[in-house]
Amino acid sequence: MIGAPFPVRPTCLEIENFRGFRGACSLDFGQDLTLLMGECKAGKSSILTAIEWCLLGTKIVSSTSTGIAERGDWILANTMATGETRVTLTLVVEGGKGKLTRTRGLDAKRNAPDQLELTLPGEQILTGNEVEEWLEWTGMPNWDTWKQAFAQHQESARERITDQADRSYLIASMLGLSDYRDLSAMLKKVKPKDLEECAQETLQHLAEDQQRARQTPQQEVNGIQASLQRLNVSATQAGDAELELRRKALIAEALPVGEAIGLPAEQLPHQDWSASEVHTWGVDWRSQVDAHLTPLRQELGDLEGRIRSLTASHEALNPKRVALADARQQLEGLRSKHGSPQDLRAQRETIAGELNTLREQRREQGELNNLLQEALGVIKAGGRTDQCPVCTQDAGGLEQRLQEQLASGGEDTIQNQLDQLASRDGALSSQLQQLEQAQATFQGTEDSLASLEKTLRGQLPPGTQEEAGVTELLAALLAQKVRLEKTINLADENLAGMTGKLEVFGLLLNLRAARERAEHRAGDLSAMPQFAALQDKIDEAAGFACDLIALENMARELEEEQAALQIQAVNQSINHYMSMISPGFEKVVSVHQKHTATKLIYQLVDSEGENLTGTLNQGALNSLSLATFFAGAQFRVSQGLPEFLVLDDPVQSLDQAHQEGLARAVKEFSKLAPVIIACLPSHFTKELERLKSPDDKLCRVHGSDPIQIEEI
Amino acid sequence: MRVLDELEAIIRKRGVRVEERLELLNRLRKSDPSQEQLNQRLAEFKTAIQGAARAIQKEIR
Amino acid sequence: MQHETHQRLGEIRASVGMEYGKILQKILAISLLETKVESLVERSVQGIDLEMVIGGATCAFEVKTSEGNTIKLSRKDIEGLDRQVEAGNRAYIVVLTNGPLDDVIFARYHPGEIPAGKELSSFFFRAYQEPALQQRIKSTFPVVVDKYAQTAVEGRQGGLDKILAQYAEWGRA
Repeated sequence: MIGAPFPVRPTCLEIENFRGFRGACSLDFGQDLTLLMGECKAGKSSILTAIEWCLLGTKIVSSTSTGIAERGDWILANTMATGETRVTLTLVVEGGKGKLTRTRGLDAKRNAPDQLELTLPGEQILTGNEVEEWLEWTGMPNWDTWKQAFAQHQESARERITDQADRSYLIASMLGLSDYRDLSAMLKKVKPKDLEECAQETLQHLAEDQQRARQTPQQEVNGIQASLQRLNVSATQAGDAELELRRKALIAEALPVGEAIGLPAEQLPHQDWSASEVHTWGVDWRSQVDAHLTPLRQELGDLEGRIRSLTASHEALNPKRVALADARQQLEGLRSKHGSPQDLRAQRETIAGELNTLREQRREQGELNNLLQEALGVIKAGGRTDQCPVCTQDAGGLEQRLQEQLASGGEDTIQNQLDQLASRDGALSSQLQQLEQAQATFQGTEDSLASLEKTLRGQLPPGTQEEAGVTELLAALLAQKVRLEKTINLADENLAGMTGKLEVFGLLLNLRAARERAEHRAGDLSAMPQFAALQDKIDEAAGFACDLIALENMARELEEEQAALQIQAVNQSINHYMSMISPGFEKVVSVHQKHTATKLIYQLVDSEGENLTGTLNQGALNSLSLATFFAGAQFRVSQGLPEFLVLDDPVQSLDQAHQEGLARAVKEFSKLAPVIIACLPSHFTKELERLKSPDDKLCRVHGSDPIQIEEI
Repeated sequence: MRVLDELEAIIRKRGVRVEERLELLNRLRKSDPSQEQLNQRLAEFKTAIQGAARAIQKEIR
Repeated sequence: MQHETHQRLGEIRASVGMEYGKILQKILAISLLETKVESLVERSVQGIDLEMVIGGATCAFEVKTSEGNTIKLSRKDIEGLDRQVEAGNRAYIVVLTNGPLDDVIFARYHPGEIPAGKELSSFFFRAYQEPALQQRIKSTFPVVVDKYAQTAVEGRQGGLDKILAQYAEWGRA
């Protein structure tokens, strides 16, 4: 949508329930000048604020949006109102008149949106965002432009020229350079430097990664060399020659072992194997050898057992034979001395019979003796030793006879006989025992000898003679044992050395591989296709960044060029209004363009190049601010853009002469575009009354309830 | 915007990266807000650079 | 740039200090001469460093090196380059910064594009690089650096001048 400038301007204002206005009120503006005079709190500033609010909305009460601190506390709605707040501005637009109405609900929250409606010629009605778009399209001001070129706010009268950003914005606008500045500012905000930093950071990190990737193989080489050093293989020694030497040695040492223990050919190393192949074989070597050694060790064990057994058997024979001979001799000796065991048993049987007889006799004698004793007892007890206690017959010398019979019973004789027989039996028993023992010994020895002989025969080959066979067999077994031991020792020695040798061999192999990796310049990015792809991306980004910077620089150069063309006209305009507002002002005001590192700024200087805003008094600053204000507005008019001025108490710090000068400037400008002023009665207002023309409207605002506006 | 037309004239006159800069200018003409578009483009470049770097890091780490 | 080439350049810089820029200029010259140019002249007194003719066209080079990652063109450099462009020649700024992954950049000079007196990173110059020239010395530059690094360290500029003198296409003005 390309906007064609049309000098939109207001002709009438209707206010309802806005700030000091309770209820409805309307005001027709003068074609040129509208002056609203009144005492404090009359409501005249509210009329100007109503115009602002209708055009710009609620942002006018934000301290951050407006840059005017006290606005943050403003309340727009009339506090006594019972209805919604509404302001309608009638505008002269292309094709006729339009009505812009902004409405806000009675209890609307601070952040709630307003209702916005615009009625255009031909009954076209726009609402909401459509209205915002139409305002922008027609060149109606945003807040910044409003503040610089439309409104003189009493709260910030001088900031227009004292604030660097405000001043530069205003002067740039006067020079017709707003678009250039806006474009430069926008391009600057995109921050192409971020791309530069991103690219540099990325390359930095990659360089560090490359460094690490290069160092790692070398560190690996150093680590392996250190391990070899500990195993007494120096760095200079640890090369291909040493590797080859050890490869051959491992094979040479293993082959005889393998052949000796009977490993199959496929488990033996080949002379033409590479070092890697030899190492792989070496790792399995121990388990393969052990597997074959186990039965050999078993065999050796069996062999040793056999030799021991044979030797023991053979060595046990002769002593056994001697023992047998001795046992025989002893047995025969005893037999000849004592007779056979049968004889002895027979004798003992006889003795046993005699003993039994004697024991019987002794028993009988004993019983008799007991009777005799008993009789004696009776006799003694009866006191008559010559009378039988039983039959009471006279038995002279009975006691004596009884005692004599006791004494002659022969029990001792029997006992002696018994003892003699027992003694003889004892002797026979002992002889028998000796004979039996000798018999047992002989038998045992004979059996033992037979067993030994059988065992030995079992160990010898059939049909061999004992002595010769034993000797021959022992010799053979011993020879076999020696061979077996030799084979096993050979294998054991090989295995014992293999662990250490394989470790060194493995390290040498790893060292060779690590050196190759280090030599191949691992991590060199320049050869990687991915790196080329990254470089392309960075180049593209650099192009974009460079284009942004170039456009920004071009915009600034254009701004400079245009400024150079327009500055004279702007200077003329400012000095014209300054001479009207401040007739005694002796300096000549010039716009000066200053380059900073990032942008152009504008200063107001005198003919000697001294910055004016730093040296002028308040009144002169106010005058100068007003002069630039008028000059800026005049520029917009010259461009056919919408323009009308809204001044709120513009006579701050102006004395009578300046007020009169301002009145003249206002009158002159009002011929170009409408001016609406709110002011206390003063010299300024008197001068405006004096200079009043038919197109002007002078009003008095009464701060009554409701507010009255009276045309004078 | 007049300034964009004038920039186009300078770009053509200078003859440096003409195609790329005119394309950028067209973006400024078409889109609103332009800054957001340009920031987006910038972010795309950063993502592309970082993505390409990750592909390399995968190889060498 | 290859790692080894960067290493060798670092060794040269460490040895020759302030002369590094001039020495690199001569190494570049040898690298270009190895690619069969019609002529290559050192023109240090006339605002640019090297002038090369190839395919009938004249290319002017302003060589800039840096220990960091930015370089700066003085007003005098810019004026010299502007004069070359006015004379109908192709002007280049040859940039070599010190990052391990930085390569030699042959950036085409266009009047108005490069501000004088401002530190500019190699990133900025990439937008203007001409791949044809980069490609030209891609294979010769590392070889030349490796071959003449020792000469640069021991013989400095004089040593490299002797090498340059062996090329029929080489001249000094």
